[in-house]
Amino acid sequence: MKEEKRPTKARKLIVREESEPSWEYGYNPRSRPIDMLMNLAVVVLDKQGGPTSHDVVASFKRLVKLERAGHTGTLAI
Amino acid sequence: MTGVLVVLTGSATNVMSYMHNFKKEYIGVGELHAAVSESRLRKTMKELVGRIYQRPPVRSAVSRRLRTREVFYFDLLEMMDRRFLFRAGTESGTYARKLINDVGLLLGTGAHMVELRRTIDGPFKEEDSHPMWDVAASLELYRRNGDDSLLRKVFLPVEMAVSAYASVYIKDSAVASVCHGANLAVGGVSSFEEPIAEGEDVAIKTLKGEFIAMGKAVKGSSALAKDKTGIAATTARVVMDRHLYPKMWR
Repeated sequence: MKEEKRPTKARKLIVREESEPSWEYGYNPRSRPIDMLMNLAVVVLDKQGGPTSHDVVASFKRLVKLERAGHTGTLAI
Repeated sequence: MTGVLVVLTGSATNVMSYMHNFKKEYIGVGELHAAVSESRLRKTMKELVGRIYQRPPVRSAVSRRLRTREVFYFDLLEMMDRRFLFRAGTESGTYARKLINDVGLLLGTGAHMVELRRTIDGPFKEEDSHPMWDVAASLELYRRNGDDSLLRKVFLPVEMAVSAYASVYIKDSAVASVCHGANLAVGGVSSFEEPIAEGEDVAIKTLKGEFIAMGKAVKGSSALAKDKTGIAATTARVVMDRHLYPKMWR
């Protein structure tokens, strides 16, 4: 996948105080362990006709064996 | 209806409410109840671009009060007898079905929507979307031989979902306290994206760019750049695991 998308409006970074991150903890967002990623992700599904958005999320949760998942806007309008 | 359906997983679901206001694009088929020339249809569709009034349909999830929504574009792609293919870019919460009904009302013929597909939801486009069998295949590959390359194409980092919000990068020493729900003090801020207005929703992130929480800016950009004390942002919704970073407060 592509790099993290930048906002549409160009935003300038203002540095208040330089600080170095420690690599003893945390991860680069693009290389976090897969189990962690799968529970901290956005998935863009291509919904097919038929089942409701709710049904789609339910079967997605079952398939991936996720405890929590939800869609951000129903596709029923 | 088919197309782009954005799903958040695990603790990312905590920021669901910040994902509702994205602009949408739809492609669909409408059917006129009487023949109309292409130029008349095109002209009528143009009239519906801009701010329009809509009452949510009888079967809808929200209160049925008349409200206004913005239609950014509404284009005729193809016409065949009474059926027409359209593309519409709209503000979140615009009912495409109602938009097609309005076309019929303005033309005096009546019209209804036959098919609808969402092609864009905020930063997420049809090209980036995966049918369920893609998800199944990527899982299968991973479970069989530990290859997570496809899985990483399907499961995108939560950071991509909040890319529309200005980022505030905080020092490692402040991460755990924000994870525990504490407000962010200016002393904890390393850098931030401007402009930020007072009261604006911001994405609080680590120096590595990991998304920690959504917050509400208490200070705007200029105060945030120079103030020595005070609260930079209140913490609204925490996504990061509170044990990922060590506690560094006394």
